Amino acid sequence: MYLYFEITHFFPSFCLQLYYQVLNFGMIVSSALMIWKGLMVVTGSESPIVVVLSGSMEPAFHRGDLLFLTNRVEDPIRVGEIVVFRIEGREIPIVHRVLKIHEKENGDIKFLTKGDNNAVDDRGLYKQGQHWLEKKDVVGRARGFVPYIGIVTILMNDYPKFKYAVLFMLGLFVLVHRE
Amino acid sequence: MNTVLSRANSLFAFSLSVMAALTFGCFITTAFKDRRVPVDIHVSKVMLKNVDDFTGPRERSDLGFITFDLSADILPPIFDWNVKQLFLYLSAEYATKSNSLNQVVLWDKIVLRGENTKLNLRDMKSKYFFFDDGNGLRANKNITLTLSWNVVPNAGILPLVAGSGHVSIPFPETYETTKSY
Repeated sequence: MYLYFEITHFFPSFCLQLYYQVLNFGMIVSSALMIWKGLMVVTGSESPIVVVLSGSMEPAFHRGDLLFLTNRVEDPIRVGEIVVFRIEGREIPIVHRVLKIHEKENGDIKFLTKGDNNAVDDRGLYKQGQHWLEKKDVVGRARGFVPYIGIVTILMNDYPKFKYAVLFMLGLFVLVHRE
Repeated sequence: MNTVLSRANSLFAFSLSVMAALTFGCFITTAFKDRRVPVDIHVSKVMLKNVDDFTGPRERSDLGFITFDLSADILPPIFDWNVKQLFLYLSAEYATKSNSLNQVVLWDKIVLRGENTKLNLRDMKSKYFFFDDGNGLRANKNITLTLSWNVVPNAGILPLVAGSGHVSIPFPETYETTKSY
């Protein structure tokens, strides 16, 4: 109460407005971040929501579809599951289906994947000399799916001008709002 | 509601919320459905060879050949308003000395909404090479074949369901040395 009295006396009113705007914005951003990190913990995956980038899983998934992933340790990898994985050294995640698994007594597993729309398995995509994928390459297993929503992300990646335009409009909107 | 812009804005917001509600409705009405169906699998011929694994690591591995029959009626409990397609796959599961669990997909098929859903396949050969990681197929008493499917919805959960009806077959004790298949 005392602090509020001081602030309203020593800050001119538009400064106060701006201060509250910035605080509001900060709250929104940190809530979004908390939700995202919370999702990461609950699902066990480093990227719980991904956008499908290629047509190699058609007709099930098209470019722009959104996938919800989990990667819990107590869920073992089995054939038929749709896994999102990264090849060592490359950062683009790939969404394909598990074709073959060989698992040892102690839980070490090696597996092979193939895209539904591809004629051959993924050995051609793996690193030179790599024949199998392992648990560490997996970002998550696809458990849920929503169509079309991820198109926005693809548009922003393919047309960077669109991304800058959207960011600019958002920034403008936050500053101009309520005046 | 007195400018084109504010009308367009509310229209857009309304259509977005309606679409979101419909999508959620699609998901929640079919999320807990039991999608198991009895399946009839029958194996007519089994053969075993031992060759260099040309699909991957070039080591001498066991290569199995299975000819099978498959019949199932998958329409009634599985296809509903929220199913876009079914991905069917026939997998073989077995244990060997070097690996406690092996699973290999032998054959798969995509069944889209609206396509014929009665499966009645005879004398099918496997689509993918049945290579073992090593030589564990010879004299293996228990290879279990199961037909499973991955339900791909219009929106919602992607479950993997195993058909209730699997068959176990043993592999022969000797390798086939003729060039037949």
